[in-house]
Amino acid sequence: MSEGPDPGREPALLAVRDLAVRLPAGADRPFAIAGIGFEVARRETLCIVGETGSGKSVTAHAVMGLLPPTLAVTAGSIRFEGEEIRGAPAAAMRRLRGRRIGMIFQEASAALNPVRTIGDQVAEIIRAHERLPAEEVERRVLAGLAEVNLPDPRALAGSFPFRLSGGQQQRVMIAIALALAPALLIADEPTTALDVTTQAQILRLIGELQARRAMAVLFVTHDLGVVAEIADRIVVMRHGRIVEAGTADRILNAPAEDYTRRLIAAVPRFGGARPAPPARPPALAAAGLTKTFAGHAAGLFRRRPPVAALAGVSLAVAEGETLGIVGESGSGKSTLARCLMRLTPLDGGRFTIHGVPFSDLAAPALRHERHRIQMVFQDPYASLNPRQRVATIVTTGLAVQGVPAAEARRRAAEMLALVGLDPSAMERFPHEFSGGQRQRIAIARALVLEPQVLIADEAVSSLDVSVQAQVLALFAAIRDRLRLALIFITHDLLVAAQICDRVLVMRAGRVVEEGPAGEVFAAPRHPYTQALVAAIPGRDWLARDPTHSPARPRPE
Amino acid sequence: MSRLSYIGERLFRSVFVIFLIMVASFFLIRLAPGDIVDFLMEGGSPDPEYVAALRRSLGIDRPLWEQFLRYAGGLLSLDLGYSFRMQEPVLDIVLARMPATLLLAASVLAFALVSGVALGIVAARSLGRWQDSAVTALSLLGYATPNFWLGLMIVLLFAVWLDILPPFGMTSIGMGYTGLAHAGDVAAHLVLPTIALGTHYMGVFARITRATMIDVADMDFVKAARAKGITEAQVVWRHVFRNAMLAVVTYTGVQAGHLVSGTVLIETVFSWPGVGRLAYDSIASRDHPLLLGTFLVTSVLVILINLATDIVYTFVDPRIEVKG
Repeated sequence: MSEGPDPGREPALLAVRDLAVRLPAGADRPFAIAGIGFEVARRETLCIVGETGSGKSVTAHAVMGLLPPTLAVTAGSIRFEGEEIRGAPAAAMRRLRGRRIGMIFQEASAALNPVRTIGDQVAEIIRAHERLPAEEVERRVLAGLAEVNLPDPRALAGSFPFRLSGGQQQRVMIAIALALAPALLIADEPTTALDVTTQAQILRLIGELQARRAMAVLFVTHDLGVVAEIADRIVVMRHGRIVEAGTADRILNAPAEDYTRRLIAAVPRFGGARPAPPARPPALAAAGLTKTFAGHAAGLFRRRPPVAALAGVSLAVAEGETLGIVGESGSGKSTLARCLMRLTPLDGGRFTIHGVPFSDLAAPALRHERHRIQMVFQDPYASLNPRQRVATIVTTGLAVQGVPAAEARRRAAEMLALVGLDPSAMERFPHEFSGGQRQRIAIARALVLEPQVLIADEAVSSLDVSVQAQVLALFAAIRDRLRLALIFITHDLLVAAQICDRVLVMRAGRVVEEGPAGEVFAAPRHPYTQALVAAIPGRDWLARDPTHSPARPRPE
Repeated sequence: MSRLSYIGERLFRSVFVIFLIMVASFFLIRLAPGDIVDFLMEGGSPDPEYVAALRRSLGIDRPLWEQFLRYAGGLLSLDLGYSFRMQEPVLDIVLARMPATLLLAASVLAFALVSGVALGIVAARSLGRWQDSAVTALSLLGYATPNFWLGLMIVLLFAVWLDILPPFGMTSIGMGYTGLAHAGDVAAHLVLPTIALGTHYMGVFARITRATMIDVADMDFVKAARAKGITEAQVVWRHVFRNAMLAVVTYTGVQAGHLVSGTVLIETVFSWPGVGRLAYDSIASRDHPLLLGTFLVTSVLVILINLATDIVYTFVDPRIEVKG
């Protein structure tokens, strides 16, 4: 589907028509993108939004002429500044890339060459397109780093990427992409890997530079909140086709297509929390947990000070209750999870699970009691052994507990049914499942041991929003049915608001705020919580969205 | 921690490694039947009293633990013992042979690195085309061919049939070359042993280079480099090759020990007057102090090469933090 030309607008900077990209043989569908068309006007922000496999990134890379050799553009036209660039000679594309079209990527840490200095990498793009004396290149490198608000550009230019934080690395990428003042910036999920407050800063920076440079932005994202924050116009993609396209206001507030409506409805938002469950005895109670990591070397002559990952954390979670642990990277939430699992030794503090002094158990007793607390990890692609069948994955824990094989298989099958998987899953391997299904297998693996406490560490963070909603619903259903105490660790405040009864807000190893989820997010008291809530992208839109009903997400 | 104190600490720890090697090889060697006196008396019908006196004078009639303590004590003052067969202190003999082995090893490494990395780059840049298949086949052949057999074959081809390269030794006997002529003579003698031993490592380095170049070419920063509009040659050289070399440097260190042991065989095949040849001769003659001496000196050498690799690594990869 293509948009018709709009007589009221000036000629488009970028015009894509009927673009098709073929997938290699053996893929799940013949085309990565099948005949899409859209335009980007000068100075505007066009967001391409879609879930995994929608073809949104392929579209961005096709415009840049950077598709991998296995993907071929088979039809259509890409006109940039009035010129056809599809199939343009390599030298012509090279002159365009960097100079007229800049690009930033999802993982800035991976997009910077680890063995070259920051200054070198910024200078490279300038030297590729302009013959300038070395001092002038240096002056422009420093000016570019200063423009993206990086502190001490001179020192920074001499350092290597790994010394920078994720937000700083993305700022460097922006400085590189904008070094030659391109007319179009292509941004492929540039804030997905960042903390929410850093994300807000990067989005603000892109907006400021866009206004100053009169630049157009083609922004690829899965996050409708981000879209609501920045888009002038929106293209919604699914399975390589455009579902609908239009102004941001129209798509977000009056979507015409059912798919768009479902996508919007699946976005978690405040106000989804259920009424407080009746008070029950605590399943897990922890007091004064501390853990300090020795500082690693920070160069040849320095050593960083030790990091207090947990600086006296106390918490309690009752049967059938969900406790949310929220905070940004480095706040200590994952260390807390690993310490509660007894995967990382605590430095101090104690905790009990249903009265059992779990933190004090020695090795043989610990192995016997491990079934009491189980964990679901973030990445379902990394947390399941690819060489084991699902039956083995789910029954190994039972075998360790001494359950006979036949009995273990029976219970595994039951548990797979409970998480919504077909019994035939038992004999299959993890790669045969989608991300959401894999996470169900991981949940089954945890639950088959009949734990009293289940820790979900960012367990829905890597899932598409519609799948995320389903897995959240599954967690809630299982919690209620098995009266589990659920500890839900997430960086995503909206997800926490959706599923948690109470939340702890952590920062630098300390709990800065604690309370019922609804209260904490509606009226945060601590400045840090206030900053987190304020940084949620698209919160104004989320708050007023009329299409959303506060009902729990539908099951699959 | 500074780079210097890092090196100091590594060296200090190496002392223990060398001590363990010394203990193990001392006792392992003695497990084999026979000693130097048996070797010297071989074929004759010696007077038993003379044999006993000889053993006594060499100290090898004492209990093993006592011999060990005396040997270990000598090591503290860098005394590696005395070779009765060569009539010289072991350390002097081994050190005199060391330059030849180092020259051969350096030559093999240079040949293998340059040709292997070049082949690997060609293969990675022409992925799936005939050049790639050719390099892959060649490297498989290279590291699957036994080096002594390859050595004999190339001697046959270049020295016997074509008669363009000297087959054995390190210098032409009786020519009395000096200066440049001498260097040229040694270089000509180096060619065949270098190819014989280096072909294996060439294959290994070609495969490693090819594999890491392909891996690195897939990384985001290479895509980001292309997005800058730099030329393909710049993308490959500055971004892909530079990062792929990290794996090659690591692997060079790993291969160093292997390479030194590989010289034993090749030095024997080519009568190269190095430590490897010396070790072979001392096994044959049950010259235990000399054999132990070659073990110890080559162990030290391998440890030093590994240390050098690690130090080089801290320069080529800025992310490596020097730590204890």
